[in-house]
Amino acid sequence: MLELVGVAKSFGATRIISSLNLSIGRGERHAIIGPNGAGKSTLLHLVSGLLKPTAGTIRLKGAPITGRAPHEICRAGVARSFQITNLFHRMSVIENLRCAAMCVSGYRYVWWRSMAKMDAVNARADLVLGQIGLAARREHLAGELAYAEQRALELGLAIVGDPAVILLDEPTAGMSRPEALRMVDLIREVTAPPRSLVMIEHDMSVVFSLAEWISVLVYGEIIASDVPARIQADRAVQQAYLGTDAGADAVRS
Amino acid sequence: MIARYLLAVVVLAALPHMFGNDSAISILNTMAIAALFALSYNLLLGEGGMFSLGHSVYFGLGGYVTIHVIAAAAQPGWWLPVPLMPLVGAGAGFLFGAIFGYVCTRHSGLAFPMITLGIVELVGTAALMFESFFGSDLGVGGDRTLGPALFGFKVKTRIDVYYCILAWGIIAVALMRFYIRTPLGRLTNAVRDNPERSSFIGFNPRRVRYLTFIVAATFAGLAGALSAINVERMTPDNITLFASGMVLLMAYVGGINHFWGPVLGAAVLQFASSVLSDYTELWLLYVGLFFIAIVLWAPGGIAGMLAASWRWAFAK
Amino acid sequence: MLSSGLTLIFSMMGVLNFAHASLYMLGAYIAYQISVWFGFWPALLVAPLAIGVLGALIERYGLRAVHSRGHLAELLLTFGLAYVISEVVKLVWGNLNVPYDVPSALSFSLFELQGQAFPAYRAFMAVVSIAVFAGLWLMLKRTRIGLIVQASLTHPAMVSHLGHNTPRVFMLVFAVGSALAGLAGVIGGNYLVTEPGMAESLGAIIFVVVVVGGLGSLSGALLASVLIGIVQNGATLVDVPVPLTGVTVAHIAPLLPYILLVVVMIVRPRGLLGTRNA
Repeated sequence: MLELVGVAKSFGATRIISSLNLSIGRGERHAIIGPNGAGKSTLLHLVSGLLKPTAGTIRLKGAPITGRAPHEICRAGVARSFQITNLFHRMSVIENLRCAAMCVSGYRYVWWRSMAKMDAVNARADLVLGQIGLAARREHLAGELAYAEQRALELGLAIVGDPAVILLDEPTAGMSRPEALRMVDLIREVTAPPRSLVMIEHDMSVVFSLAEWISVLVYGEIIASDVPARIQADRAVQQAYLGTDAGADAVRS
Repeated sequence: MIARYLLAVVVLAALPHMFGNDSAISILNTMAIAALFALSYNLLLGEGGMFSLGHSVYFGLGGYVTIHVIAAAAQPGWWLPVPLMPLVGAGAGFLFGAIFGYVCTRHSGLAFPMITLGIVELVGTAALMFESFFGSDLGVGGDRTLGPALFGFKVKTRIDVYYCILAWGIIAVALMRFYIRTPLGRLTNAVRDNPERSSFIGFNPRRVRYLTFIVAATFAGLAGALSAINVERMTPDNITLFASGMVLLMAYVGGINHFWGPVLGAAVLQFASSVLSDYTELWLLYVGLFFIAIVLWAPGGIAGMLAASWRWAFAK
Repeated sequence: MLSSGLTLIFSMMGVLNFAHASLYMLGAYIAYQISVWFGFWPALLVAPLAIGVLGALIERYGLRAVHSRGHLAELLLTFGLAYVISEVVKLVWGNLNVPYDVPSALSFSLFELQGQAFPAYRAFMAVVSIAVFAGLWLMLKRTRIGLIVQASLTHPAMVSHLGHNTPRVFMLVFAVGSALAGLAGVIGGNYLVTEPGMAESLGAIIFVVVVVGGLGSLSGALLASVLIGIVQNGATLVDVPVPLTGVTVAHIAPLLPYILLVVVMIVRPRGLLGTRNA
């Protein structure tokens, strides 16, 4: 479904990602972990179009999407959420969802119909509204929501366009434990196959409860890519995290 | 809902008859045109978050094309009645909005106002040079009473102009309110709030801005055409930074976060420039200070203050 | 060539300011007033200081209050200030131009260039411009204060966490920029005309220079101002007719900077040497 071949990214002389190969299958739940500064967010930026790779190709369903504009990549079927909440703060929750839902119905820059009459779009937005549990906050402005609700809306914006691939950037960042657990259930529910999920996370319990496959990114290189059980036991991964056996605890927790 | 609008229309239609004298109607006419112009500007500023300093270009060019068409109506066998000529102005606004808008919307943020400033200076300076189209300082004139009638209606007196403006105003306002409810209108808001996110839900922010620009320019051209009919003259003064600044003041002072805010602002500024200027030469200074006060302490404008006091009064 | 020196001074500031040209105008008027009372040389010293203080006040009580509301509010504030300053100038000094003249000490001809006299005052202006530019460049690139200023313009939060008084840095930067605009007014106002419309006529060109040169690029602004100066002055010498319009190139010379702006925006939206993407 999603293929990265030889992807590299440098900012001037600084190498962030070097010759990375990754392959995500249809319906796969793939987590990317690694220490801070490893280049995880940069990787998402490259796939979603915010940055252009300095080398390599990225293919979606076989067709190249390398270096295309973000809105084109989104239309091709890749949606993402952001680590720092990035909503339309002066628009209501349902308006946020409706705008994002237009992608799926193939609507472009329509000026001849009122949005209230676009049933398919409205239905989809309401559906996702229910799924993310914000039905009670339907008409509230996005900027007025509580933090966890905003993160849920972030997720909602990513999935309402019915994308083939969903990229989540630290979806449970800054959440308390109960909030994070709820978020995990939500993610599991809304990212069911055939959708593919690529997730960056620091919280290991979240990673192990959601991921079928984990890649570990360190200094811009993937040092291990395997099922969760083997990653947990991998020495190189443990060393990368803390440098010693203490890393084993960190990876296991 | 419809009843409220019908009532408003009836009141507006009766308005000129409540004032005895002609000069009051004249003020009403310029106020209405200014309000329409300010509403078109707010599609850019309030809805789209685009701080344009060159909106007077589309008002001016729309008006200029219309005044030439009005002048052409003097010829025998001319077929377009004056009351339909605002369509011409709107068309000119659309055309020039598409041309200049392409250049202007290449950028956002801080560069956008500067580029629009460059465009208004370009066209405004050109207006002073190409006298065949723009006339010199005195501009170009026309006689609106000539040409065929529209179902027996001709624009002769000031009250005729008022009803012409009212009719076109109602159409324009209805279209603008509809625009805001379309997907493109919503995207305009989205791009204002978060252009980056807009691209990640599948829409090109630059394209959205370009289309919004064209729509705003079209309505500005319409307002310019009405002005050409009203004053029967267009001068290069209509295409200046000063004129653009005026409409910015009107929209912002009135309140850019409410649909009707610019109308209030237009009324206030027209009042200041027509009535206040009789009492003091410094009316523009007072307006400037008022504007600064709004920026500092009441960014929602007059409409914002009214809305806040409404909420405060009813929350008690 | 003449306006290049002036516009360069303006483009140095990273903050965009619609009142900049108005401060230039105010500098000229204050210099005029002081030179009427005390002579040109005191004016050269005092007027820029006065404008600098005004700039500091504007930053402290105006810009700082709206800073949290984003760029639009700042732009609007400076835009309103431009109106107010313009009206105040008209109120105090009247609507017509004031006789602010080149000081007699400098009003002689330095040499002949192509049959036209090259005034000493222009040399003086060039010297002052270069000295100011050099001084600023040195200060920004070589001193510690300059380093702090540069850092604060791009990463204010970080700089303040490092213990520097960022608001005061902003105020200083704005004050210096205003003082420079005032200085330009002092030395330019008597060579060009000093009248209430001078801000408007100069302001538009300045913005064209900044955009064409590229936002955030000092050398770009320099390049653009030189380019525009050449184009404008050169065009007035060209009597070739422009096809389709029936006028000559010389006739449309004032339009050329704006046409250049349009062309650059289409071909190279980032400006000639632009770094920051607005």
